[in-house]
Amino acid sequence: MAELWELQFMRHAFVAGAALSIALAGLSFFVVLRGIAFMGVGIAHSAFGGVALGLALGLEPTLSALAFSVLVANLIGAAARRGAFREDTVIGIFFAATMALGVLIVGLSEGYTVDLFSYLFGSILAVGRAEVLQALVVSLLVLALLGAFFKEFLLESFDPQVAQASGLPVKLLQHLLLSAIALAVVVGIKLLGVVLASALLVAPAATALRLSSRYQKVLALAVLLSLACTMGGLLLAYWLDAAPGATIALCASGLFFASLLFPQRA
Amino acid sequence: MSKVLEIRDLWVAYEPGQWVLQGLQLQLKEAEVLALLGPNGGGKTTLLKTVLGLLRPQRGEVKVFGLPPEGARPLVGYLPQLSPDRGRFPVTVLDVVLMGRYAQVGLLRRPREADLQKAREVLRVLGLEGLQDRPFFSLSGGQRQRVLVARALAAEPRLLLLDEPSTGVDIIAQEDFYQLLGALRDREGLSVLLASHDIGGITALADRVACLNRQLHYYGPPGEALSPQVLERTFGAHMQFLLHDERCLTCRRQDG
Repeated sequence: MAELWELQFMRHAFVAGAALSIALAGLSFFVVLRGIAFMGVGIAHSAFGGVALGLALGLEPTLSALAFSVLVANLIGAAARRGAFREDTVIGIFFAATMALGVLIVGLSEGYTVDLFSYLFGSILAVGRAEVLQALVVSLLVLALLGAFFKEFLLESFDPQVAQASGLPVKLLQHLLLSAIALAVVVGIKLLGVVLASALLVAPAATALRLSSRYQKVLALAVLLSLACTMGGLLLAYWLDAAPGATIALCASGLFFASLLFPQRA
Repeated sequence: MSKVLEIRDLWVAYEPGQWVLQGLQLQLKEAEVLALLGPNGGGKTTLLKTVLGLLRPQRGEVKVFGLPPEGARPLVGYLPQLSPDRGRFPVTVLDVVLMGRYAQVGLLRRPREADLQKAREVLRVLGLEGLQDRPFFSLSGGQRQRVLVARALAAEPRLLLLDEPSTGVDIIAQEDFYQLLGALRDREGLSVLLASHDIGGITALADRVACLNRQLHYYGPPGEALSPQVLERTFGAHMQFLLHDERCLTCRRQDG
């Protein structure tokens, strides 16, 4: 274990992974309770369009992906409200459209040499000093947002009509939450990859909800499970020389399946 | 008695020209229960949302405690038509009732001991103190409804807006619920505006009845004035109904 800490890329991966897993677990609580699990997948795939757009326009790809995904997440929220559709319908359309945009741009760009495999499935080697900083900043931002407006997010998720009637800025809260999800998912792509970035956005809270019916415990358990899977998954990925996104996602989903073997805790 | 709600010549439409409420004229006084009766799609929920300030009227005026609806929100408690069905949402009964205090607590602040005490007090008044640590999702329909009323009361409102509170509740729980509302009106001076398509039980509780199907077809005391002709105009032809008169207030259920 000690020798792993001496490897700079593993140090980076552990620090970035720990920060992100806590932020994603906090978000997963609201994602699962609001039934918007598909949002993570949609946003992760829209990030692909954002990266391609950034490369084509000569912008820093992570920054363009961040901006593009936050925009798409908010458009999904606004389009769902305007068209009176469920969010998953609108996500399904944006998901395909933004991914298609990315594929088209990549196809039209000559000399596009980014390692597509590491982008799709994540790579420990892709986590440099800049990515650690991004992960820390975004995680702190997300946790500060969740901490500041926790009771408002809780009421708005539980009973949106009463939240609105009591004068809460419901639309603003929805957009803040969607933006936070977009930020955390896009930064998580470096570690987990596009395809698997949403694993930690769903499984930790889903598993924790099997184990407790008190939100304080559910939150604490989700964070613990998410941290454990990220740390364990990183170690396993190093030893097996595999993509960390796969080991982390398998751990998180494995724990969920295991929780189904036990009776639901009241 | 002071005016709690005053509605003058109210016109509301979702689409231009498609009036859902047409020229409504209503009043609600302190410590009074006003029952809004009418069929589905008759505009009851639209009226409640307008009183809450969630919808803006195209014409007319709504004053709640002499204020525009948005300004009166701290004085108004609301129970929406559909009770939240969020599966196994991990909140206890006390958590749900405490949500009623959030507007008073304010943004970026946490509930204090005084808020918790208020939530517990409301639970005690409604006879729910034994349930405070139970998960909300584990309760029966009738219990959930009482907890959501407790949440609305935790905000210490002076006007309670209830949208179809008898939906999904059996007849016994419904009767208990109407008795509870009557007690809150008589003891605490609470005013209640209640939308329902249940003509039976509610007329025993209400001080006034408004029959609404886009227009007001009747506005006045329940009982004899609630004639079959008025109900037919409101609900359409060939409907059967059962009215409770004041004698039903003395009806007692055989428990057990």
